[in-house]
Amino acid sequence: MSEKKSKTVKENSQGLKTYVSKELFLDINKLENDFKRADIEIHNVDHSGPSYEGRVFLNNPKADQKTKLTLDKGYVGSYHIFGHGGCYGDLGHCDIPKEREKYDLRPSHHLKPQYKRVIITDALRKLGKNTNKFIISIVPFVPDKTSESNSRDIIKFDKIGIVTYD
Amino acid sequence: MMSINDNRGFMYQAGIHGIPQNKCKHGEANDPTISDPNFRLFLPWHRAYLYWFEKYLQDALKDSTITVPWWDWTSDASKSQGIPKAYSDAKVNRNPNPLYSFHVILPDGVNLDDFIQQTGCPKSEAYDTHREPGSPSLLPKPKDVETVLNLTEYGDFSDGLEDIHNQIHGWVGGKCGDMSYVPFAAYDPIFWSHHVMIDRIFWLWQLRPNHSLPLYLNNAVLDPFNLTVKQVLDIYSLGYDYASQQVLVEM
Repeated sequence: MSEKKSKTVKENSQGLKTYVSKELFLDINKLENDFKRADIEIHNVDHSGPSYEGRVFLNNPKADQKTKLTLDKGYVGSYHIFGHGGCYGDLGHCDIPKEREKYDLRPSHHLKPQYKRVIITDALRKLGKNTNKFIISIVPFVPDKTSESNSRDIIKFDKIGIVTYD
Repeated sequence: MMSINDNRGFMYQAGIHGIPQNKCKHGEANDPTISDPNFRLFLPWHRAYLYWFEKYLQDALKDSTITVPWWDWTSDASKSQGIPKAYSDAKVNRNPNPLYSFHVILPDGVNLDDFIQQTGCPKSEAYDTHREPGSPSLLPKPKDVETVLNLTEYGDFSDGLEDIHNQIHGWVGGKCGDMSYVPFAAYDPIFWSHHVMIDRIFWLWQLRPNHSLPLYLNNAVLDPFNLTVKQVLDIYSLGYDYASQQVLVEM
């Protein structure tokens, strides 16, 4: 169950730009086999900007920086990005090649997007008892007294979804 | 011995990670669906990096027993004081403490305009170590480390430990600190003790039964070091070990 190339950015009263997914459908009570693990997978996450903590919530699209990190508020875990903070070379230094040539054995580009996951097994079991509809929210958190760094749109990725493993 | 122009120097070594060499491995192709030879080299690459760093440190001090200590950010001491005093005291014996503040001189011509614009943080080619540590209550707890140590599959473990590693970088650096940014992180002296802690956890994971790296990683080259993944898997063959117990002494 995943959502591709869809990015809903919501700016709340703190000037915080939060990612909120569309509604995803997953009925854990109707799975053919019980799952032993469940992850939220986030594909092609950009790390060219600032470092941040991505606080992941299920079914709390209003979550913000002040929301308690507890399951009753929908918090299921965090991922952390170690960012580059910009580009430091000449023109084109940070352009990521779309495809690698067959005989290109050099290391990947240093800004190649990353794959992140948050293990949500227990959380999904609890939340999934009562619903088959899920909204994923990601609240960026950068420790910053001025909150200036939170006023920017720093969460960028291609695809997000919930994956269960038998 | 600090120069970026001398391969034995601190700044040259720091510059392997970020500016100007950009050799570090973080989160590379951490996607099981992507076939990529650089798949999850984060842990072995940083082990090779620490090994080289320590060798040059031992050369400089003419003492082959010198090692970099680990910073246990899960310890009670870290919970109460955050950054260890060895790195947070401005003076040592009335002299400036280089582990607290180190004067960095980046290579000529490095373009910092984009960094300043993107982050809103000041930066120049010459600067002193800058940290904006968070609340000690936000540091990882022993149970967080135990959770990743219990992940039996290497990919899960590597991703989990790398995420904790990222958390510490952001915790030390905050919005504008050096540790928060890949290009500058290794110029902060605490980077090295943070990574020794990561390497120690990697070793503790390796010691557990049935925990091993996938064989296809064995021959991967850890650029720019003359080592493959296989050559860094056994720390005894690199000439060091980690104590299984620790007793903390207030400094």
